[in-house]
Amino acid sequence: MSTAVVASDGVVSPQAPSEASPRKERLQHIGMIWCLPYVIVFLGGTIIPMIYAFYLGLFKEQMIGGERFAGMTNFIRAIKDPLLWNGFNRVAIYAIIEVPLMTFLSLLAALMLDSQRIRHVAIPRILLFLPYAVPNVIAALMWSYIYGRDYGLFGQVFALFHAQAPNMISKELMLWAMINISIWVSMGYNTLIYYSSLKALPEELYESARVDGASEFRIAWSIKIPQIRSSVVMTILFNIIYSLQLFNTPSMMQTIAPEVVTSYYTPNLYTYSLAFSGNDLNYAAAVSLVVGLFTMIIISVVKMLGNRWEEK
Amino acid sequence: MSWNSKGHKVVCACVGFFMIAGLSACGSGSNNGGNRSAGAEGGVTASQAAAALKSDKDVELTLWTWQADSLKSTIDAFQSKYPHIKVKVTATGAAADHYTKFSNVIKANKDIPDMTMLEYDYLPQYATTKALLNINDKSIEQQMGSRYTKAAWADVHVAGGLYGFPMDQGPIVMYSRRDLLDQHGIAIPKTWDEFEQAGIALHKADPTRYMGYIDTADVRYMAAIMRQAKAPMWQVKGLENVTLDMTNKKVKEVVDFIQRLIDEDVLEPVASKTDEYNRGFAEGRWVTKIDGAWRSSTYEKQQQSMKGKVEITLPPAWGSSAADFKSATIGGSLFAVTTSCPKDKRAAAVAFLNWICSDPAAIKAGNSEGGIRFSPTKAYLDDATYQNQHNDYFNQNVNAIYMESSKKINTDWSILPFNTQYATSFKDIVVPEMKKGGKLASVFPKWQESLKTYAEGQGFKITDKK
Repeated sequence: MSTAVVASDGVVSPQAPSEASPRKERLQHIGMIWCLPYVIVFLGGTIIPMIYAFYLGLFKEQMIGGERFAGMTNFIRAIKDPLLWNGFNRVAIYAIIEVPLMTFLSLLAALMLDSQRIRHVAIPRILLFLPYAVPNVIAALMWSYIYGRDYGLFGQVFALFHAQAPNMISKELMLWAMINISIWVSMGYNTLIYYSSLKALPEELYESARVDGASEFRIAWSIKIPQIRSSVVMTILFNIIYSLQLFNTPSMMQTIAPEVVTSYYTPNLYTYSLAFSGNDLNYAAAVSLVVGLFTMIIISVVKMLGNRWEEK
Repeated sequence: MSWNSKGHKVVCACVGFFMIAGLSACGSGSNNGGNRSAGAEGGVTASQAAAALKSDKDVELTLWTWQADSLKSTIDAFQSKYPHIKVKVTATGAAADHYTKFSNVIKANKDIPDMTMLEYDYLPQYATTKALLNINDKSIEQQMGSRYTKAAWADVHVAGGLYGFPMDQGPIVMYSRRDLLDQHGIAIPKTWDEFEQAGIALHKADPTRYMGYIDTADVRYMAAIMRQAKAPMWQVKGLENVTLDMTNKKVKEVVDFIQRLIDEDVLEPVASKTDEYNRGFAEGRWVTKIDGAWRSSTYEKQQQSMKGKVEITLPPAWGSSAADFKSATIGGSLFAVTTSCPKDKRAAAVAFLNWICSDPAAIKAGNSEGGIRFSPTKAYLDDATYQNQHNDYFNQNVNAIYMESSKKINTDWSILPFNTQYATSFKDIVVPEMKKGGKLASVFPKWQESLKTYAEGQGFKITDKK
């Protein structure tokens, strides 16, 4: 409602202060209209597609035999689907490695930028942020070239030392290859969020600590990080969601390593394969809802833990 | 407070409105879907199609293709002759994107083009799901069918229904780097046994080179060897009866041979369409390449540095001598009318497609400017100009080889009506074993099982042989 109050301030006529209280209620009504653009986009972009996906999930359409009502069959099948759980398992491992690593590296970079020890801070700042301007698909494509063992940058560098480059797109290293791409792309974004939160902190907060001779590390650990807790929790949530919904990178990697990246490598890739190569849009809709539900559960748990940390 | 609750009502009303709008949108979508599958018969005769060409009534048709560039001259030729039939061409990107987009509009039942290009491998799938118009009619079969070869005409039929016109055919040939083979004194092999011996000798002499590769990104290359070796993995009867027979002795023999070639470094398993592949290919890492006839255009357009170094021959024969040679196809395309094409436009669509696929002027347009379109029509195959045409890039008469390969295609072969799932499950199940020291044959029972489960879920009647 705060937007309504601010926005209607201009309407307030200074000659009639006695009308103050009825006007106040009027303002709240205008607020509803101010929210409408968001409500429409939220309904059209999120709620209605979800309802539509649920509706689709209730049917089964066969290539031969047509469409029929299937009740909850698709949803039950999705929950029991070993291929879906195989994908979940993989993105869970991915998240467990990627999220802490990303948070740690971005925090480190933000604290270094904020340490006031770097002379031309704008230069490393923009360099860090630059990869974020590269669309994820392009980044994956680019790295797929770099990883090449014979003609890629990796292969060439190792060849300089007469060694065979590790196969980054092998079954064992593929997750790491994808984590590397994700960190390369998004680290600057996370760093920027932390850095702007750090900038917003009043300097007095750690000035006295500095006078008392606390080291920069100590200031970061005891003052700065606790102060930007809410930013950290927010980025962790974003990164978890991103990990669970992993699609672009494995989809690109599928073309260069079809023997590793299966059609069910991640839950979202599985949904896509079901819809477009399996011709089973209804089951794909059910699977995507199960994926969404599962993501929401994990996010709620993490959010609860995050709230507890923030309230400390 | 009263205002507040009114505000709530506004929001609730909006939510309600959009929910209803959303649901009714779903409802109408599925209704239309029902209509589409109801009217599958074309109802066009050859004389109606001929009349549509002569008529002066304006008709506008939409066409989807992933080869808008190479088709341009052909379509322009048609437009200048019959300006009243306006064809609006939509380029759909790469072939793989084409099918994703086409399936998508079919599912959405919206923005479906009147006509589309397809590869033969995808025809049964779309015919089965009634996305394509069955234009079967006695007069069309007789008058238009007679312009194509028997095999090509059979390829545009599914379960007795006629679903399109054959544009080009992809009989397989072998593209060999003659210069590299000469360096090592190796002759172009004529049988698979010779291929194996040549490959062992080549890799021993130069460990950076392989005789060939097997594509891990595309099932068609392995399937072509199966077809050559007369080892069909299934039989399709009608629209819905499929016998899966992927573990029989003959199939196992071929699979074991492929595994042996991989183990001996004769064939390297490689995913095509990647940067590593393209660079390796340009450097001659794989000395031979077995592919459809259409591949020659790619050589001419993209590999000018290899001009005069590549020789086209028939692929190795499965058997003891070249006389045993049986061919297969990889790729090749047809044009189909969709069931969404309005009734009053169908005659024009049929006439247009038949013209661009078989008219001498269309064939001439498709075979000019360095492009080769191997047209399975009598107008092309019986024409001495094409029969004796010398190709400058390959420095030989390539058409003679395509024609010979085309004549020897093994016709005991059918296409699965669930081709996309077959291609995906190949990558999921077979490809991980397609490596040195892999156990390729051991995953075929699993592959068959997975296809059976899928196909039964889609309503097919599956018999599986073990």
